[in-house]
Amino acid sequence: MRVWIDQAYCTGSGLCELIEPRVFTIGDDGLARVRQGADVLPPGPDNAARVPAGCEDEVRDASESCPGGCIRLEPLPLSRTYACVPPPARQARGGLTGAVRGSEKAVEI
Amino acid sequence: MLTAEENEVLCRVGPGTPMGSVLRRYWTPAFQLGDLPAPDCPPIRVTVLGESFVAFRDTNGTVGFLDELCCHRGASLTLGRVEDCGIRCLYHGWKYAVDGTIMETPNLATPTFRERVKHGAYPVREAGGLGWVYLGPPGTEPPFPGFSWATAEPDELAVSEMIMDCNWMQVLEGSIDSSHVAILHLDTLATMGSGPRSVGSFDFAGEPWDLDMPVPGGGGGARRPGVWPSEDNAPRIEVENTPFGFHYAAIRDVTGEPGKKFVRVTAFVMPYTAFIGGAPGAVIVVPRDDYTCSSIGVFKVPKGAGLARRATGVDPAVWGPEPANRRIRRPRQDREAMAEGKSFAGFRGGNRIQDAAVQMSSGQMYDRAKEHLVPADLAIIRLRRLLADSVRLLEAGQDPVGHGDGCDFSRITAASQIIDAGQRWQDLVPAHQGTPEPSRKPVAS
Repeated sequence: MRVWIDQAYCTGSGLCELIEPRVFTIGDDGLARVRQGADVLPPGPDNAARVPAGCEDEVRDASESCPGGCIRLEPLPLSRTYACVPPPARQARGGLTGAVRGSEKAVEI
Repeated sequence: MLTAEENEVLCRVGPGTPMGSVLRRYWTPAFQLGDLPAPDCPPIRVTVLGESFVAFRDTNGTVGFLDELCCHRGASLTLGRVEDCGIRCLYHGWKYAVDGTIMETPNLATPTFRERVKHGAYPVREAGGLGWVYLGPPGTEPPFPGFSWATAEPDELAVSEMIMDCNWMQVLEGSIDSSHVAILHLDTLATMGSGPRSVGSFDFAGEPWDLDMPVPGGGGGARRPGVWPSEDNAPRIEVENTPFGFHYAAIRDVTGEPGKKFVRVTAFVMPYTAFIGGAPGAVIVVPRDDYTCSSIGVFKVPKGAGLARRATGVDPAVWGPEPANRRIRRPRQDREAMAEGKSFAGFRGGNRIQDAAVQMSSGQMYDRAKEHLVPADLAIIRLRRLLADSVRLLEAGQDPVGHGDGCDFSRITAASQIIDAGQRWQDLVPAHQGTPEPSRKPVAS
């Protein structure tokens, strides 16, 4: 299984890093990235990380609890095949205060 | 979070829906055996998974579970007469046996019709105070989940049912949610003389005020000071799949004992049943329809205590065990007691009343696209994954997960205890993976 972050939808909540710090980290821009061993990979689908053995459940936990729905898994696990289309970026009142791509500061989204 | 589409798949249970099709591939506890107490007693109407049925006990004591409406012209068989080894429709007198055989058609003399047509009838098993039915395709029944209390006598079981006006997933997720216990149920722990005395800025000012409430594993207001040896409200959740579904541990620091951990192990048996640490039984959540469910508690009690335990400490104006009183009304919240530091949540009646109040407060069907999960919710994430996996497996022509291959259902249990920080919690529930325990060495005489 491979994993990458679709940063357009990342809220910077840090939940993924809490659940599986061997695979996820929060960059200086406040958005999530994936690790491959000690290396932090650039964002985007061209830099998907291979999920190390023994981390699969945790990576799925992170993907299924992510408030932005931005953790992409390939191939898509069974349980996510109803969620092939990424959810729209949130515009709700209230909700998360987080960083978005291209922004230097936290904004209300 | 789930997308709106995933949420719909998870929540809707009617015939032909993805989840409804999955749930029909498991044995489903549909009614209380106490509601059919004797041969030829009045029949009962049972709504489960969005369909209506009639349940009756025939002259021989055998329980039948049939489509509710007479297959002639659709009158309800719940109005019918239970007599001479069958149930007879009042409208034109058609009579059915427990297996759906049409025994008599008084307004049709020729026997050919009743020999060729059969009424919808479903397999029934009686176990642990409940009538379990199988609503899936004939011949696909999985092994029956014969839990440890399946063969208990009626007076050794406290079976109680709370009918709630909300979608079943709101209640089911609550049954595997350890991190709410020492918060929402702070009053319950305080009544037992255990656990933390505060949540955030709330502190108990003196003793709690609901001293008659039913408490887990005891009678009304029983003191159990050792039951919750922790003030840690952010448990670490570790989840592991099992042949029957999954089990998880909620791991908390132990107050004053740094080398120990307080572990509550919950076993979840697909797709309805949670064995909860600290309670001698299980909570079973069954969808009646998309907007109604039953939360059924089945607890083993000392012989003779089964009936006496049922009704203590709960206002009958809110809920009661009698058939006409099982639908819970929204309980009154005592804001005065909350303000005076006598109660955190303000609901009298113990855990189930507190749970029902908050679970129904999310509305008829909560939209999980609006939620924000945290690591304390990892068991809930796993529950949804197993259910979603099952939907896809069934669509691919395979069995759903958690049928319990190689597993002895009678040995599924829960745990709640202090162990050494380095000890594996799985050691507390050795039968859950279906592997044999290490054989014991013979004891030298």
